[in-house]
Amino acid sequence: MIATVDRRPLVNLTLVRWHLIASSIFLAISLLGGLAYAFQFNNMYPFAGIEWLSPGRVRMVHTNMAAYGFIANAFIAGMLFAIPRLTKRPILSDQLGMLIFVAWQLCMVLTIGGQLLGYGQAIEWGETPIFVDPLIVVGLVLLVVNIAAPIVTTAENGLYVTLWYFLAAFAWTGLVYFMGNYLPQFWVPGTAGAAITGLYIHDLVGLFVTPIGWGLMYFFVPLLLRKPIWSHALSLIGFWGLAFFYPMQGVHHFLFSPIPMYAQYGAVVATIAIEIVVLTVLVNFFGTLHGRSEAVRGNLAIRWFYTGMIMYGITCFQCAFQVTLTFQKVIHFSDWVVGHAHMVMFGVFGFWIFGFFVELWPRAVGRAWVHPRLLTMHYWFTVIGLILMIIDLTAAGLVQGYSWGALSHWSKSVMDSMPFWWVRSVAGLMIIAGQVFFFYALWATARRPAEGTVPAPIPAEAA
Amino acid sequence: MSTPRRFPWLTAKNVAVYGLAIGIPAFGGVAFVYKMTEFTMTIVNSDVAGFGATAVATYLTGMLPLLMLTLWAIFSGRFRDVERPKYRLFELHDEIERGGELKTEGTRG
Ligand code: HEM
Repeated sequence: MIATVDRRPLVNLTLVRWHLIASSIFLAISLLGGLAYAFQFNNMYPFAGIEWLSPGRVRMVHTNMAAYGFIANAFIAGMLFAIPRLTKRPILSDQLGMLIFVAWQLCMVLTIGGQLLGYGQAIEWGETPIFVDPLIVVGLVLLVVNIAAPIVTTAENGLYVTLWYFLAAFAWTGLVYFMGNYLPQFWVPGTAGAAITGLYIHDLVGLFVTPIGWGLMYFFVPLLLRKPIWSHALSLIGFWGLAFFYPMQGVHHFLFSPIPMYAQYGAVVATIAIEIVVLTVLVNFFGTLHGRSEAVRGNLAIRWFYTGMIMYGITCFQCAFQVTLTFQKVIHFSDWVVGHAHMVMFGVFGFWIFGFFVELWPRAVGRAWVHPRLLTMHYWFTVIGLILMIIDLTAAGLVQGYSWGALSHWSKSVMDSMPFWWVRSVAGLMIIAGQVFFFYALWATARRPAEGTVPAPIPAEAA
Repeated sequence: MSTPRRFPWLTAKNVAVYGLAIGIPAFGGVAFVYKMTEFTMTIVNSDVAGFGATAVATYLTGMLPLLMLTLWAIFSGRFRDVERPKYRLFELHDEIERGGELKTEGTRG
């Protein structure tokens, strides 16, 4: 194991391992919540009549555990691995790292408990109960102190783009979380508060999930391809584009709302501007893949990463249309948006996280993957399941939107949606089947006898 | 023997990188100024009082550390060779994968 001069391991793999374990547990909880809620639309809700498991509460658990339990934990694991390796400095304190780990999981448990007992906060994406919010803000600040320390103290000259993305996420996340959870609740009610919520929803995706996700991609992809990123300059342009233009687009979630029309038009323009930024990132990654495309077949982590990138391209392409008022007239409030949300949260960030797992889990447990075939099955079940779900919800959204636009009776749109909701449940079951392979592979790998060496990445022919 | 090219710097890659380097700040910049202006206008608009002010204030508070960081990076010479860090990534990786004990200081890039 690589160590620093004071004999501390450079990367605390124990912490990485625990965050990955927590991430997978919350993924399981989120998926079961999503499936239960999907069954509600088939008139088959499994917990009918049990108040604390009522569908509205379970939906909150589904979305919050996907974002703060599954994605956040995996991202913390990725940063705990990448930052010391880019700076040659360990995190500030291993004990603090463990404390943050425990505190974060406590926040998640309190969030689930609070939401199921009816204390969810009535703010989209800010449903974490009001008594958990201060803990999360403190946790975020401590996390930043602990993992930003190596970046601040590094002797490396010239920061790699990954670290720029992380620094931006650090500068933003606590602030954004505070803004979104407190301002609309206590100080800025009504329409203005709703507009802030719009900013918050978007900032959470754009300034927390996106920079950390892309930062980790810039770290893992070149190393796995054994090829430097196509253009570091271009990656920095993409970074500053995101940092400067992203924060102002949130209002596009509230087109056709009482917010002044010029603000809505502004959001449309800013959203289209960000599309060009997205283009730089995609050009860069596909430019890097050029000449190494066989890796998509041979290396499972790379395959997850590039599948996620294609999803990212499609989501952003969709966004450019969704943001126009013409399109909004049809899709607003329909299942189209739910399809879009799954494509970005699961299809992009979830898929990247699976790529990190493929690469990091063997290192975190010190053993090579036991059943690489199971990982391949996990890939196909998840990807096919999700694509089915996205196509289904997109079509459902169009049916609903046109039905409402034609002023048909509400119940007719519900009846017309029923077949689509069945397909969603089937797609959900398929995704869950994929995760069963995955969880078993994680468990079996961790339990196999230790080999004593850090395993190499998954071999080409195994994928 | 191939004839030397008249503009050796005119490669597809340079055109793409520089084109985007100019295009994005130009297009994004217009959108940005437009957006900031309307947010500022919203501050005095009683319909959604508070929204504009909070949005602008939060944006500036969040942006300030990043702006400082960027200026610090520029003035401390971290962008003198902008492509260097992508190669350094591999040097670090190889050193770390070899195992043992790390050298105390990083290589100046
Ligand atoms: C078994 C797989 C899944 C099923 C069956 C499922 C089902 C659902 C359902 C029924 C909703 C509520 C839609 C509505 O209110 O009309 C929902 C919302 C959502 N889910 Fe999932 N989900 C699954 C996996 C995931 C995963 C893995 C993620 C993220 C990593 C995710 C992220 C979201 C998000 C962000 C929303 C909110 C959408 C919105 O409000 O527009 N889901 N899901």
